[in-house]
This record gives sequence, structure tokens and C-alpha cells, in this order.
Amino acid sequence: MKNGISMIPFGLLSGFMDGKEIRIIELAEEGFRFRLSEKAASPESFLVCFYDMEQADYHEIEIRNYTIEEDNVSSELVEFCMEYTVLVNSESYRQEVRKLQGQYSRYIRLKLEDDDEELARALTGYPEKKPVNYYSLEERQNYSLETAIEIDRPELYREYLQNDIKQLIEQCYEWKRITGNQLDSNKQNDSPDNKSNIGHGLNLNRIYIGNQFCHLLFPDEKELFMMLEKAYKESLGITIAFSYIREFMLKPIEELINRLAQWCKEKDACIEIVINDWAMADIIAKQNAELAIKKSEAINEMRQYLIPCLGILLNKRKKDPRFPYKKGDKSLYSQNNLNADFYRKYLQSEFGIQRYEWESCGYEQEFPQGKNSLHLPYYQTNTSQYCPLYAICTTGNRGIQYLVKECSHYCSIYRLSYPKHLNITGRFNSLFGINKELLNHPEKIKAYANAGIDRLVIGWE
Amino acid sequence: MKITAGLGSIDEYIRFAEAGADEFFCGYVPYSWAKKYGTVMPLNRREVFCYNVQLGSYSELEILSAMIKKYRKPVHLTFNSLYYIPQQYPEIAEIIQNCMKLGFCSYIIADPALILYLRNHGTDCDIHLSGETGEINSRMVDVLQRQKLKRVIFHRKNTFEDMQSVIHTEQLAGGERAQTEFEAFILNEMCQFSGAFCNSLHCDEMGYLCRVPYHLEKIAKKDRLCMQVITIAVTLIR
Repeated sequence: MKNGISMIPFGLLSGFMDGKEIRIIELAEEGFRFRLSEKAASPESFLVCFYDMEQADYHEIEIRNYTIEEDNVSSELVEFCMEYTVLVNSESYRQEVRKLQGQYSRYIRLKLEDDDEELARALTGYPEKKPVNYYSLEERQNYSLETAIEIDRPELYREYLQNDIKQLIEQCYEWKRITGNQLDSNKQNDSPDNKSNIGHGLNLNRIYIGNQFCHLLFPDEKELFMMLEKAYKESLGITIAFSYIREFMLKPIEELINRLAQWCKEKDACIEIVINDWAMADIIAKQNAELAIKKSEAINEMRQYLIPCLGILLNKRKKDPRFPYKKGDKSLYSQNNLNADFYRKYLQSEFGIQRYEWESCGYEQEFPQGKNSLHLPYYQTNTSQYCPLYAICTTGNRGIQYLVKECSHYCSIYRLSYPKHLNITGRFNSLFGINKELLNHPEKIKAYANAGIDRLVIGWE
Repeated sequence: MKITAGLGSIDEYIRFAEAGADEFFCGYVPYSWAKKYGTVMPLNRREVFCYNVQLGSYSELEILSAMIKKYRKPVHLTFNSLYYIPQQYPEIAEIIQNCMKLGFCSYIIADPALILYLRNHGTDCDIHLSGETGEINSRMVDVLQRQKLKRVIFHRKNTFEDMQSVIHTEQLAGGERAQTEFEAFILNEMCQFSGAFCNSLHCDEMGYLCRVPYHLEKIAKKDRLCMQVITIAVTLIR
């Protein structure tokens, strides 16, 4: 066809022949060509759907006035399909063709220049500041949120073991920003559980120990049990966060879980376990089931010593600081598979999971029924089991990666720094976005309480 | 050992089959899905419109089905997004059932919720567990085998030792599980992070987040929580 473009991707150009989806293999202003596995039987109409890249939506053109003729199939597909040419005389059709051809050509040109920043600028206006949609703040006076501090690397474990919890959180910039850092020693003894009373109605109730993203940042066992003892004495709730489990870690982890269960039994205390691997979910479920058998109790009636929580690596959702620039219906991001009732029921019945770990990642989320913890202000966007930071520190190239067995913890000294407007940082083996909105306006946390969050977990950079 | 090749268009099938490919995988995204969800909630991990990486159109599947009958090199369809939203599960089940009518029996899936949904609703397709599901280890495979998997696909950061151990464990399980198939990637996406743990955008209008320029910097001493002192103390003790 004259000035025809072949094989425009189906996402950009779709077609229907009397309701049957067809592949348009060439597009021109005078018409189009398509192919079928069988003979086309005098169609009544065609519907050609043009994707508008600026509006992120389709324009559909119905064509009833056309001529159609069968072509000779010249390719090796000759024995499998028939090809047809449809000639169209429609100004609206021609306008759509010109627009699509123009947008597609422009896209190809931008990609060929191999400059992602220029591509994003041309197509989205990035990185000019865009308004961020946020929860509308309702005035809610008496919200109650459990609050936890997260320690997830060796230097924090050592700091915690050497100092009082209040001294530890005094050093946490994020804690001070979000809670207001109003330590009121007069109110401490008023709390029946002797928990630290911090300002803004937020009390420190719990400590998260462990790293959800890097298996090499989990404390060694001696350190872990020392921290458990300390947290127990300080009457803090305890959550231990595990990451993914490599094959070689399965047996040691299972043995550790057995020892943790034993510790809980001796203290008559329960601890939460953040699960980021399906193997761990099974290990905890089996541990709880075995205990139920020993006690001759029904598992759902028994007090569990180890309470599983679904971690960030298994609670998947799109997270990207450039989210405001994404084209399309972004309200779809508010949900994920945990909003599906059947899935939550499965997680509960199979593994006993009723708490889910989330992150504040820059847009409104619809939290499901159940117990929901919100980690802030950092949210994970990318993780690699072969540490990229270790790769760049040892080889100069982030891509030359392998499984690290003995880690030098370069992440305690180095991080990856990104353009400021992105608000992301490379820590450990991962990239993290930073929700500056909550750091700058912690009063917006109230809205999360309205949305179903019952616990805040504050992390460090 | 077989070679599985990615298919971006049915036009590639014959020449790849004649070049030695034993199997193929590809994406099929009907217009109804693209119109409703765009690239915001993609059906698979090819989260773009501007590239020929999906087959598109049911009529292409019909043509492909005929080619498969002749060349006998099966094609697995990918529904491997890391998650979907509640309303999408019945829609995907319907798409899969329509594809099964044409003879497409095997599906690469990453979302455990989708696997569960299909099995709960009696969809008896072959499921290939995608490496995008999470860390692949023998216990995790054991858990997901409760949903009857045909194949396990190792992700790009599984070592040979990992693979050997997982395969050996499956063989020891016996019965149907001893027949579990395994697949590993050689195709490199040039991605420095793990697909299962990559939640950033891969769209037409912006580059990949992991390719944004960065530099290595030292964490400021004041931010290191006296780490240097502690490190020296630990070193001395050792």
C-alpha cells in the first residue's frame, strides 16, 4: 500500500471484523491489510482501534463503507492464513491513521536516540513537578496506631544492644520527623505496659529486627537472641523480619525457627515473623501445626508463638517514584492481589497469615480487611539476590554480580546516589524510594489510620 | 535438553522452529484487556504497547495453532505479571479457557493467587511456575506443587547448586512430582535486579528505573551511627 507501515504492534493498532479480533498487518491512509486463518465471509463492518499515546486511550473507528479483496500471501505463512486488503474512504479514518503514524514514528525516533530522559520528557513532561494524589485528610481525633522502629543492619543491631531504646530512636531522623520526637518522661510510667510515650499520640510499641531484602544483613544468632531478651525486658512487641531464603539456607533457617519457638515457649511470649519466601510460610505453618498436635489443641484455637506476617517481597505492587508521570488510569494501582478475598482466605487457612506489611509508596492504596502495617518513609522498588552494591564496590561494575557468601558490608559505608528529584537511594542490595511527603507532613499519617493501617513501622536510611 | 525461544510475532515461528527451537513462549493480550487496563495493569511482564512483543488478536492464535499442529513445537502463553487485582482473575480465567479451546494448554504464571484461582475453578491447564514468583528453593516448590505444577522455571540468579538441589528434591518426592520439568534462563534482559523483586515501571513512556544514572557515594560519617568506632572495636576484639 502507498506509504503503508507494516506490523504496527497490536497494542497500538487493533482490529475487529464483525466482532472477531484480527491482526492488521499493514496500515495506510487508503486502507489496511489483515490476515485470517480462514476465508473472510463478507463482513458487515470493521472496527479499527487506534491507540492515542498522548491520551493513553483508544479511538475506535467503525467502517461499513469499504472494498475488500484477497491478496496473495507471499510469506512462509501461505499454507496457514489468508491475507486481505481493505480499501477505506473515510476522512476520520485517515485522520486517525496520520495521527498514529506520526506518534509511532516519533516514538521510534526518540528510542533510537537512546536517551531515556529525553524520551520521558517528550512523552510525559518528566521531571517537571506534578501534583501527587493523596488521601484526603479527615479530622479524626482519636486514632490509635501501634508504632514500631525497624532495625535492619549490623550497626543498628549493635547500637540497640549497647543503648537504651530511647537513645536509639533519638538518633533516628525519620522517627523524629514522623513522631515529633516529644519524649515526655512524665507520661512514661502512666503507660500500663511501660512503653515509651512519644508525641503526636504515637507510642513505641514494637521493634522490627532483621532485613526484608538482604539475607546477609540478618543478625547472627547470638546477637538475635540478645536483642530478643532486651526487647522482652523493655516490654516491646517483637517482629523478626526474614528475607528470601536461598536453597542452602533452608535447613539452618528451619533450625533457627525451632529455637525461636522454644524461646517463645519458655517466655510464654509470642513473636511475629515477617515472611518473604513461601518456604518460610510453610516452615512457620508446620511449626505451629506441630505445636498444636503436642498440645492436642485445634490450631485455630491455639495460641501461636510464631505469628506470620506477609512481607514486602511477597506483597507485590507497582512502586516507582516516577509514578505521577505514568499514563493511564492510575487508580488501578490502589489494589493488588491481597484485595482478593479468596487469596487472603487461602493465606490464612494455609499459613495463618492475617497481617500484611505495606509501604507508603506515594499514592493512595486500598488496604484490605485484616491487620495492616505501613513501613515508611522508604519503599523498595528493586532488589537483587546477587548484591549490586557489592558488585560495584569490588569490580567497579554493578552488573558483574555473583552470590556473596562472606559479605564485607560495603553497604555500611557506601550507597548509590541518584538525581535529587527522583527521591531514591541505593541501599544494600536494593533501590528504595523515599516518601518525602510523609516526612514533611507527618500529620497525613492520620489518613492512613482511616484507610485501615493499624501499625506504623519507621525505618532508617 | 530443549531450547525455549521467545516469540514476538507468529511470523517468527517457522524460522525459529527450523533453526532448532523446541518450544516457544509468548504473550497474548486481547484488545478488551488493553482497552480496559492499558499498560497500567499489564497481563504479562511485557508492559508495553509500542513493541511487537505480544501476539495480539485471537486470529493470530488461530493461525499459530495451525502451525503448531504441523511443526509440533508447543507454545506456552505467559500470564506472568507479579500480581493482578480482584476483578481481573475471572477475566484471565476466561481468556485462558478461550486459548485452551485452540489447543494452548500451558501457561507461565507468577502470581500465586492466579494459580490458586485457576485450580479452584477447575481450570486444568499445565502451569509453568515463573521465576518471577519469588526465590526458587525446594521448599517453596513443595508449597506451590500443592496446586499441581508441570514445570518450574528458575530465575536468573539461581546457582547450578540451587538448581541441582531443587531438581533432586522433586525427584525424591516421587509420583507425578518426579516428572516435574525444569527450565532455566540463558536469555539476558540486561537487568541487574531480580524480576520477582522488581516493582518499578517498565513502560513505553519512560526508561527503566534501574538504568537511571547513579554514582557510588560514601555515607556521611554523621549518618553512620558511630559505625567506624564500633568496627575498629570489633576488629580489635577479633
